Amino acid sequence: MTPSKSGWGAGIRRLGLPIAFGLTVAFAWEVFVRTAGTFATPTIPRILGALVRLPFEPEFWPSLATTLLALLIGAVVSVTIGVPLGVIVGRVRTLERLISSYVAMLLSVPLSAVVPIVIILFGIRLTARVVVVVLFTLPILLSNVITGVSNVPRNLLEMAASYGCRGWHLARRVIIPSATPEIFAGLRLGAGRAVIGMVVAELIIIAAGIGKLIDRYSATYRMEYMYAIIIVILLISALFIHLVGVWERRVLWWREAGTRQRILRGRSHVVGGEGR
Amino acid sequence: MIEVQNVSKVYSDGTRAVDNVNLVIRDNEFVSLIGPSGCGKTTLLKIIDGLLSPSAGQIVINGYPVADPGPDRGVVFQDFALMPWATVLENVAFGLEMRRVPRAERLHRAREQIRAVGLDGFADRLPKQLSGGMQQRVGLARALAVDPDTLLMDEPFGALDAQTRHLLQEDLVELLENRPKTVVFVTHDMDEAVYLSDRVVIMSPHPGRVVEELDVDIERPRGSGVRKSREFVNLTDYVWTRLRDAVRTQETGA
Repeated sequence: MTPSKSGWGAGIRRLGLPIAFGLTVAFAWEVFVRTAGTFATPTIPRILGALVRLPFEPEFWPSLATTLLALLIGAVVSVTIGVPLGVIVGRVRTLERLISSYVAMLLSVPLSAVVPIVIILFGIRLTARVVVVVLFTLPILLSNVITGVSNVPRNLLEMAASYGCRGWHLARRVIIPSATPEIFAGLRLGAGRAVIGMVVAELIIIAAGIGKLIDRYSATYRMEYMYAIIIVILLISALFIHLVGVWERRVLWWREAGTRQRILRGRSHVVGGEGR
Repeated sequence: MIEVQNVSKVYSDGTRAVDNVNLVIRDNEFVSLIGPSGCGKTTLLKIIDGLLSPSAGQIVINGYPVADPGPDRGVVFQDFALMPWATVLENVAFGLEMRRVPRAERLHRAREQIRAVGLDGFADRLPKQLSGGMQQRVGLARALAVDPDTLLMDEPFGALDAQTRHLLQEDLVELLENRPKTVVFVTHDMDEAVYLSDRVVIMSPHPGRVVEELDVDIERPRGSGVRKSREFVNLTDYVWTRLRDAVRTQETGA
């Protein structure tokens, strides 16, 4: 038997190194702040103190709720548009040629520049913030779905065709399962960009949600609270990406199951021969 | 009966993959198409299935021209073409699912086929957890599950090692003895063609043409000992001499 790869050893290797790195950076920060710091660089104890007091700030929870609402709606809208649209575009070669370069362009446009237009079009309410989140998320998701769909192995498409599998059945039973790894890659990247979009929206458009808090703290020079808010944003982002990851592992169980079992069964193949 | 009538296939780049081929395949006959790569044997098989449409000519099955894949034909693919995310059972049931067979019956019939191809106990495995030979057994079970009149097999054992290939050939013969079917079998392996077939169709490339149709009169059932018989050796030798010219022409580019 090969030694188990899970358990404590792997856990320490997986988590220990990043934690050690984080502590090193924190220590360097602390040294820097204490020797050459200004009011804009609070010490770590002060930042942590602010982080602990943040939940008791009267506006924190309403702001967080406002922000998460825009984020969530934006994410749902992106997936609802991105996956079906990507499947269609990826299947129709002309459409793919037509759209792909524009999607690529959208990916490189500094979207912050587009935000003022969104305000003019959609006002300063929830809709505008949702639109910004979608603008950040949709292109990366779309381009990944298109890649996944156009990479469905030819032999599977032929196999499906030989059984008369077409249209919706083909999409549901062959194309989408085959493109799932890329779809999830898009979702993970999209989740990160959704958080960026959300904060940009709130900072540039309107003082709303967490963006409003950042604005307020910066106006009153409560620097440690600004840092604390940034940490909160990081945590939201990490949580969001983690949730996508959990979902991904549930859907793509067959990928991991395969490799693990193959190792375990390597020996029995020789003994079992053709398995009869 | 499958009739290939004056079938030609010219690809968009001008390649004449199949050039005016005529063939008649009788019910429950095992016909191999053999030839070097580029002789159009796989193209012809795909045209018979309806996956490709011929540039000229037509396929007539039991008196009716066909242009699309149909439930009367099942394909076994060279690279297995299994869905990596689906279990053996789901893969085998795929054709039945597309035929709208109710779930319970579908799973029952799929399990039967899994047993028939010798994969008992592997129904819940994923393709990647199986060896190549076992994967092609899944491919065979999937094609048999829809109970087609005709099996179209595209170099089904080409990706397997020699021992596994022999084993699968023998099992295929046995399966067909219990449940006769018309088989069109594409291969480049002369032993395989002679061992399995009632008739071997020798093809040559550029353009893809039929050079000769050779009846294999070796008695059935054919045990593995047949491969050492004089008849068998003579026939494979003969196929080789006929193929050699075609291969040589291609290799030297003459």
